[in-house]
Amino acid sequence: MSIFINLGILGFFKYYNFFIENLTASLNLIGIHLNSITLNIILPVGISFYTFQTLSYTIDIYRNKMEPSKDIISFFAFVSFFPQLVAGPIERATNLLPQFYKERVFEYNKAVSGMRLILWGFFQKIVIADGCALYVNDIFSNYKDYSSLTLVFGSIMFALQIYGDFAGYSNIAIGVSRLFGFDLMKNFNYPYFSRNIAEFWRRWHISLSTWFRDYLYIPLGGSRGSSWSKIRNVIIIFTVSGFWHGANWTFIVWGVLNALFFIPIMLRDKNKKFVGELSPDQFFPSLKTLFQILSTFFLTTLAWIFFRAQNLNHAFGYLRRIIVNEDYLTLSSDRTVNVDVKPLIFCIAFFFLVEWYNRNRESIIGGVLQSKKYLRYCMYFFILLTIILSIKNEANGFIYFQF
Amino acid sequence: MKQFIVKCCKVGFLFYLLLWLIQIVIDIGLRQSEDDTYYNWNKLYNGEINADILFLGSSRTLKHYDPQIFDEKLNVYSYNLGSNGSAFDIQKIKRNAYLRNNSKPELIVLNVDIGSLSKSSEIYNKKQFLPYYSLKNYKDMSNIDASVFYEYLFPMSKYRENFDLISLSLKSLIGIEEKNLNTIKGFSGSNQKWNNSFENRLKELNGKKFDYSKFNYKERLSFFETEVLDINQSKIPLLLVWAPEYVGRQYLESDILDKTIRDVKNVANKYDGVEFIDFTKDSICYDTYYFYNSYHLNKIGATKFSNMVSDSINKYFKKVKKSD
Repeated sequence: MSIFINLGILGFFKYYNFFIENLTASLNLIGIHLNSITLNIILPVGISFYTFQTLSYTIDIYRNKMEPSKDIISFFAFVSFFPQLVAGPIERATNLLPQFYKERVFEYNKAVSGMRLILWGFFQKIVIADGCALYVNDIFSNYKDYSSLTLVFGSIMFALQIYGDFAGYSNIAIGVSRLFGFDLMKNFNYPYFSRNIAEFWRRWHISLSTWFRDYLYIPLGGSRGSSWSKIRNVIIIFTVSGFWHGANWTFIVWGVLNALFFIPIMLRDKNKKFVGELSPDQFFPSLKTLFQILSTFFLTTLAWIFFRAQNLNHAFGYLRRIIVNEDYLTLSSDRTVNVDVKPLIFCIAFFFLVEWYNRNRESIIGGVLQSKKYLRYCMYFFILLTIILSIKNEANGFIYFQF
Repeated sequence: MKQFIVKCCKVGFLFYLLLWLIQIVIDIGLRQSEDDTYYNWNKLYNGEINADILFLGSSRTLKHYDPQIFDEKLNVYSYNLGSNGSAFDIQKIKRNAYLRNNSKPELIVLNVDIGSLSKSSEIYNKKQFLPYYSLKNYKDMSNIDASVFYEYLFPMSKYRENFDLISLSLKSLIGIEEKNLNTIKGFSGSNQKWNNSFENRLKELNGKKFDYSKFNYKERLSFFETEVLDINQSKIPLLLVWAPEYVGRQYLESDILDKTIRDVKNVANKYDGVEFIDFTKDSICYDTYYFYNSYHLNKIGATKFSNMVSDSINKYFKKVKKSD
C-alpha cells in the first residue's frame, strides 16, 4: 500500500502528461484518434527525492532491515530534513532516521568540516556551474549558429555545469547537516576521474545509483544469471534511472546510452576493475590512466548532450551540427556571451587540480595543505574571493530542483 | 560551540578586512587608469578639469558638443561630461562629483530631452562608477539600483563578474596598461553616416507612435525642476539646450514633445540665470546628412551644432555683461 501510494503520487505529478501525450500519439499512429487530456500540473519541488527516501523506508522495513519508527516527529523530520529535501542526497532510513532518535552534541571538528564542505559547494555552484551556464545556455539555444568546436566546448561546459551544480548542492546539504550534527552519505566521489563508465556510476550521484542497485538491480538478479538477463537488468536500471530524472525521451535516451556504454564492460567482467585508489603513488596519472579518464569523460559528455537538450530533435540536431559543419575550428565562446572565458578556465583548472590532489581522500578542501595552516587559510580566502567575484546578477537555480 | 562561533567570527572578520584591502588596491588601480571608461572620471575626481563651460547630459551631450570648437570660438576652456544611457538622476551623480572636486564653471550647458527626463531603471554602464563608490554618492546610486546597498556593505562584491576590471586595474598599477581613449575633452564624435535603425524602428512600430502612457510626466518634470533649482542655488548660470532630433523622430514623440518643450521653457523662465534654447525646429533636423540615427548627430552634425550653440553662448555672455 505504501509503495503504491508513493509511486502513485510520483506517477501522477511527474509522468501523467508524458504518458497521456505518448499514448495518444501512439494510438494516432495506428488510426485511433483521441484527444489527449493533459493537466496543468505544478511539479512539487524535490518529489523524486523524498519519494525514493520514503520508499527505502518501506522496503527496508519489509526486508526486516529496521523497525518501523514509533516516533512520528522523527519520521517526518527524516522525510522532510531541509538540507537534502529538494535535491538529495537520497538518504536511507537505516542511516538517517536513527540519527534523529539520538541526542546530538556539538562537535567542533564535524562543524569545521561542514563549513569546508559548504564553502567548496558554493565554489562548485557559483564559480563553476553558474560560470559554465552562461556559455551552455547560449550555445545550446543557438547551436545552429556555431562551429563544431564551439559545440564541443558547449557540451564540455555542460558536463562541468551539471557536476558543479549537483555536487555543489550535495556538498552544501551535507555541510549544513554536519553543522546540525547529522551525517549524510557522500553523493559524489570525483566522478570525472573515472577510468570507465562502471566506475563513473560508482562515483556519480552515489545515493541514487546505490538506491537503484539495492532496490531494483539486485532484486532483478543483478549481475547473476545469463548474459541476456544481465543485459536486460542493466538496460532496465539505466532506463528507469533516466526516466526518474524527468518525463522526457531525452532522459530515457541518456539512460539507454549509459547502459550501452556499460554493457560491454560488464560482459567482459571489468565493471569491478577500478575500485581501488586512483594513481595512489604518483601525482600525475600515467598516460594509460589519462587516456582512460579522458575517454570516459568523452562518453559521459556525449550522453549529457541528450540530458541537456530540450527534445530528441534538439539533441540529434546538436550532434549532427558537430559532425556536419562548414566551420569546424572557430571557437567563438567569447563572442557568444560577451564575457571573457579565461577567468572561468582558470577556475576550472584550479577546481580539477584541487579535486585531483584530493582524489583519494575523504575530505575535499580539508585535505589540502593539512598541516600548513596559513596556506590553508589562503586557499579558503581565494575560494571565497572567487565566489564573490563570480556571483551573477541573475540567479541560476539548481538543475536538480526540477527533478 | 562557543569556540567554533568565536573562530568563525575571527576568520570572517579577517577575511572581511582582507577583502576591503584588495578592493582598495583595485580601486586605486582603476583611479589611475587611462582607459576610456575611467579617464574622464579620474580627471574629474582629481580636480583636473576646472572648466569654464561644462556640458552635462546624456549620450546626446557626449556626441553633440565638441569642446574644441567652443574653446576656439569663445576663448574658454570647456569640457564635455555627457555619458551614454544616463537620465537626469544619473547625471546628477556626475555633476555633484564634479562640483565637489573642481572649481565652479562660468556656465553649465545642460542638454534636455525626453530620454533624460525618464527615470533610470538601472545604472547604465555601472562599471564606470565602481572605483568611486563613496558615502557621498551612495544615496543617489542606491535610489536607482538597490543592489548598491550590498555592494557598499560587502567588499569586492561590486567587482563581481568584472574580472576584466581587476585585470585592467593590475595592469594600470604595474604600468603596463595600453592607452584606450576615444574621447577628446569628453567628446566622442561619431564618423558614422545615417544608419537604417530609424527605418527599422518605424517598421516595428507599424504606424504607431512611441508609447508614453507609462511615463510619469509630473514626477519627472518635478525632478528636473529640482535639478535646475539645485544648479541655480549654486549660483552657476545654466543654459538648457534641446539639441536637434531628426524630424521623423519628433513625429513619433509628438504626443508629449511640444508639451515638454513648453514646460522646460516655463521652468527656465522661473529662475534668474537660466536660459533655454530649442533646436528642434532648426533646419538641421530635416537632413539625415547630419545624423547617424534619429537621436544623435554625427561628427559633421556635431560640428555644425557646436558652432550654433557657441554663437548662442556668445550672445548669452554679451547679454549678461550688458545687464551687469
